[in-house]
Amino acid sequence: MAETKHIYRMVPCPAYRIELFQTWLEDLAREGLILEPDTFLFGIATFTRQSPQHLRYRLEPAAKHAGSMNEYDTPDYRAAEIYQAFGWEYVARYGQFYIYRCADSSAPELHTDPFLQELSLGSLKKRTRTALLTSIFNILFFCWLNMGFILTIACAFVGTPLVAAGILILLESFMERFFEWFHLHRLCLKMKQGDSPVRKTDWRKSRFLFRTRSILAVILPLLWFLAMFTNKSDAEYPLGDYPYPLPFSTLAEVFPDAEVTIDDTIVGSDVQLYSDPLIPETIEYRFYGDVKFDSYNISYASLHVNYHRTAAPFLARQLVREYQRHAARSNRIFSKSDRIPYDVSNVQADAIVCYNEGISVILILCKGSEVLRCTYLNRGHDTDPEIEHFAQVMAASIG
Amino acid sequence: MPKKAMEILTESMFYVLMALHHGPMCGIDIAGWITGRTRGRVQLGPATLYTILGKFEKEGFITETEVEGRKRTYKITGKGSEAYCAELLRLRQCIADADEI
Repeated sequence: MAETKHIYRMVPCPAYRIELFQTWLEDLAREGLILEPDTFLFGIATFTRQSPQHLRYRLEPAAKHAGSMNEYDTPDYRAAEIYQAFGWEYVARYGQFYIYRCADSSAPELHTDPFLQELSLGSLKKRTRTALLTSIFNILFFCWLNMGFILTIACAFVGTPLVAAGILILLESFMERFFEWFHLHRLCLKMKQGDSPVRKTDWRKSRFLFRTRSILAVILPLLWFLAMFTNKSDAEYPLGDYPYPLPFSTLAEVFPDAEVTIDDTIVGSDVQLYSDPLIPETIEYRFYGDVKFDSYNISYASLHVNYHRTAAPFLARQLVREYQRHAARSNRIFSKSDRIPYDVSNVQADAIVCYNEGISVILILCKGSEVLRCTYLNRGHDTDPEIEHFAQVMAASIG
Repeated sequence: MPKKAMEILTESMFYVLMALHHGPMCGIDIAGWITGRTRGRVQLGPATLYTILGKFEKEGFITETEVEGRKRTYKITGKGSEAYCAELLRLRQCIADADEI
């Protein structure tokens, strides 16, 4: 007995493009390629080569969400029985549609009442609308999570590939849900006017775009996972062990007459390094220690510095804007402290802002392609530097 | 809030009620009866029939009386008869209104 040879074809359009999908299957049947039962896998259908046949294929939406592990994976047995009695055979499920075919040209169409057909399609359209709204919510949540589009900061710390892949996945998901809802909505309108789905032979025109999107839909999540697992801090050092010169000033330069020592009793001082295609160098510096002028004048101080060297000056200015936006939102949501701005207009920088927030001094500035975001805290009143002096020292150390 | 009863009966739905008003039938017999009654003008597809039977059962217009293998027999209920008669009256009124012109 000759072994049946299977032929595989990638679907040329999504299942919700009912007219195109049906026409595709019918055109292949006319070429002698007959769809095998239950053989869709990752957008690839299995056919067997037989003699060319005039078959009618029709897609019927599932009443509820159909999945491999639930009762809607196959159609209701009562439906299948009625359809079988009229000459329509259930073949496979693809997406949220059951595929039926009929070899008898005299058998009535699956649907003879467009109004009722619109009702069954309408429930799928509702589910699609819910999925679309969920997709929009995900995008808004992503924006909120980033405290108002601080994408450049995210690129610095988690990596541009991860951020880009995440954005593309969200956009792809939204676009897919939108097109699905749009096409179903258009078809429903057509049925309400009394028209049934027709043969549409332009499935050939859309297949390249659809197949490209399908491949992207698989590759993007893989890239995202890859980026997530490969992206982490390039290196981490206890501050005392950091072997390289820092490209910015520290409290030792702010207080040249004082003895600045690390005190890790409560919290550890460290340096973390990151690199990224858009922001080749990021240094996250955390100092906790003492500033000692004399035996009687000692205070506990901390300095957090995020230093960035970007690929272009406009990215540096963008980082400054995002840091300001992030700080404003953080303050509104979390600390709710009064923000007192300082006049640092005499400090040489391309962009600079400095303010007192609660007990900390926040300084954000950029010069050329370099950015500094500093949080300075000093518990000793006598050793508070002039804020402008602090800003001058930090600004002078970069660019 | 109670669900609304089916307010719109399409031609297919009306003929299914008509067929069952005539007597209990199974699905394929309903389709055949309608095709014969309308001399082929109204054809009932299996998906249309399944949708109608499902909706009528849910609304209480019909009920399943017998299952014999693949053959399921339905009969119209009192509620279904009322809906059928109401629709018949409405259609007659439409024709009467048109005849007056």
